[in-house]
Amino acid sequence: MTRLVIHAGPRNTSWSDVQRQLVAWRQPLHQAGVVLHPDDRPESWLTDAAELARGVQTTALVTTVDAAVSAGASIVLLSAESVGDALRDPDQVANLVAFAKQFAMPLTVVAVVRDQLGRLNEVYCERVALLQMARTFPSFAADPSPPQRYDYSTAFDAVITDPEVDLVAVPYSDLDAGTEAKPVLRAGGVDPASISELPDTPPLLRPPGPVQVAAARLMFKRLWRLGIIKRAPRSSILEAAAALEEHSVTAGWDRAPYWGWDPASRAEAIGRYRPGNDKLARSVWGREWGDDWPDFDFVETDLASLDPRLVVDVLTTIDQLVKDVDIPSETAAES
Amino acid sequence: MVESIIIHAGAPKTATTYIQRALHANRAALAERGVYLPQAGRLELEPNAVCHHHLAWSLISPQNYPDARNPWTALREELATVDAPVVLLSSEVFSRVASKDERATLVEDAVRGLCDSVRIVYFVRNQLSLLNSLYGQRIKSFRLLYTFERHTAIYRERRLFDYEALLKPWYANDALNFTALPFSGERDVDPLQQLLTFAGIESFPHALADEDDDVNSSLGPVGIEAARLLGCYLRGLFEDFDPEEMAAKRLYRISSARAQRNGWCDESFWGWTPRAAEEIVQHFAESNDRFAHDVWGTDWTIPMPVDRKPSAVHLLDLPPPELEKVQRFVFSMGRRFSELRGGDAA
Repeated sequence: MTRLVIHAGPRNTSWSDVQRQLVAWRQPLHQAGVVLHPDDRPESWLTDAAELARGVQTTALVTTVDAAVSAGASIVLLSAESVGDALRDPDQVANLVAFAKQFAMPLTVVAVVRDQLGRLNEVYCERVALLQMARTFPSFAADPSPPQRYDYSTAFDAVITDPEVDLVAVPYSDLDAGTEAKPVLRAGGVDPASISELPDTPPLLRPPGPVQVAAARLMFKRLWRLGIIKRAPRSSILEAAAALEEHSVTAGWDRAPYWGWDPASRAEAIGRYRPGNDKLARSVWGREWGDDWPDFDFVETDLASLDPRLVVDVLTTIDQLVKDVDIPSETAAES
Repeated sequence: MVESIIIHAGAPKTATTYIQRALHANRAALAERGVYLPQAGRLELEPNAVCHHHLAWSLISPQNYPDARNPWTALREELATVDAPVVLLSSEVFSRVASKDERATLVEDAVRGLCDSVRIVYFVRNQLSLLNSLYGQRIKSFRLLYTFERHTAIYRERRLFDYEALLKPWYANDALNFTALPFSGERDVDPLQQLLTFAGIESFPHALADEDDDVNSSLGPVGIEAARLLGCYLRGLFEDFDPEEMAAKRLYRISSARAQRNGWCDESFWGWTPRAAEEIVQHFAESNDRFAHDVWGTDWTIPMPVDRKPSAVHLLDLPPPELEKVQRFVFSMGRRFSELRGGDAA
């Protein structure tokens, strides 16, 4: 019998690496009886899974699942970090169950559970690096949006209480760089012998470092002040963000990733999130959450304390990138 | 004939510039009252102020003042022709003479033979305000890039801030008379009048020096961060940047004026958190009391503004318009420095 395994993310649990590895391993996984979404592009995986949760079955998915069931595949594996949000909604969970039933497949949901400290730090870096905001980390972490995404006390209740779904929660700390997808495959019931033969793939994403984060905040404020954020199309802003990131990597601005939690804010956040995490951990692992909270050195980014040559590079790079942002001529003329 | 010499020796950041400019502004009236302000040893760059920095510098670095250029020799010759009851010398650089043990007697040696009565007057300011104010000055003049916390962690151990260690070689020296005047920093207490009263001139209706000064104004919190970033930028752009070079000194004046126009001197900077301030107060409590007992016969009574609200800001947290202003300031001052250097080279 073919089983439907949905890797539901959630967001900021290395989904991009997982997706990339699954695509890279498509052939050996197929030989092991694991069928993936037919398209390699991550956006197709995300869109079709989100649609499925909303009750819309795309042709690509239906065709793929139908063929897999007919061929006697052991697993159809769908993976989309956005489904993590859908798991809070009993109606969307019901849609997933209905789809599995339609093809007589039992349903397993695999969710990677990550502490909120690491998640919030990553989300913050992501939003700042993409020039979406320039808030301070303490202000962002104290009031993350949307807040329910970080409250684990009820995060998987709709799945846990549904007798037709088998939930397997994987601690984020089980994911190692280069092999992030392997624990997901193990949790989904893929043959361990097949998994062990899959090659490692080097990590693609490099988390931003403190200098890049500082530069992005500075650049965002500059773009905002000059009105470019409003006038330029989002694609131009994203190009500028990508150029900033590329330059920061090429020029070697950072040696370590950004970490915004200082000891006091870390302790406060742990106190805030621990009860919900304990409740979840008892539900899915039969134990307390424990001490699975990351701890790194907090370094406040103070531009004037950096190497002066680096500061010149940061300031002149931002200045040039801001000038290079492509603003449609009509909009530019209006301003 | 000179009856007494008064040396106004500082401390830095106790309205010394104001006093020195006011002395110059009132030189005629002071002369009528028997106060002579020597020309020897004056700083040429401050023609409108009475500051005898060369007298102090020649004690610290005598190699820079060979015989013919020794300002003390010039002073001796100048005073030989003077008939005034009081001679007043002023330079906060004298505090640097006192800042090292082996230098403490240099002042005594220098004034020996000039006059039988020599008195050193020193304005004493609470260490919290002094450290805070010196930090701003060092940042503004590009000498320093540190954060306030790092600056105070390093400089608090300097002798300049421990009045007992700094001034005991003077007040315990029988050959010198020493007077410590409390510096409140309050507007209603005029340090010039304090100094003149001490010199025996009461209720002197002096003409005040122009206080509308865009160079000497203290930087506020945004100005501090802008000047730090500029100092860093200059070092990154010009590997051999030296805050003591002439172009840097000129830029200091230009950037100070720009900071003033940008409104960065309107608000005052206060880098201390109450907790850090309390710790400093405890650090100096015993030596301050001993110093006060030695010079005033009382416990230390100069108020310590422990509870003053911190006003430091983080550059990246500034609102976009202010941050934009800072970046424009840095770029334009960088270009200006390049021009100034070019001018100097030419």
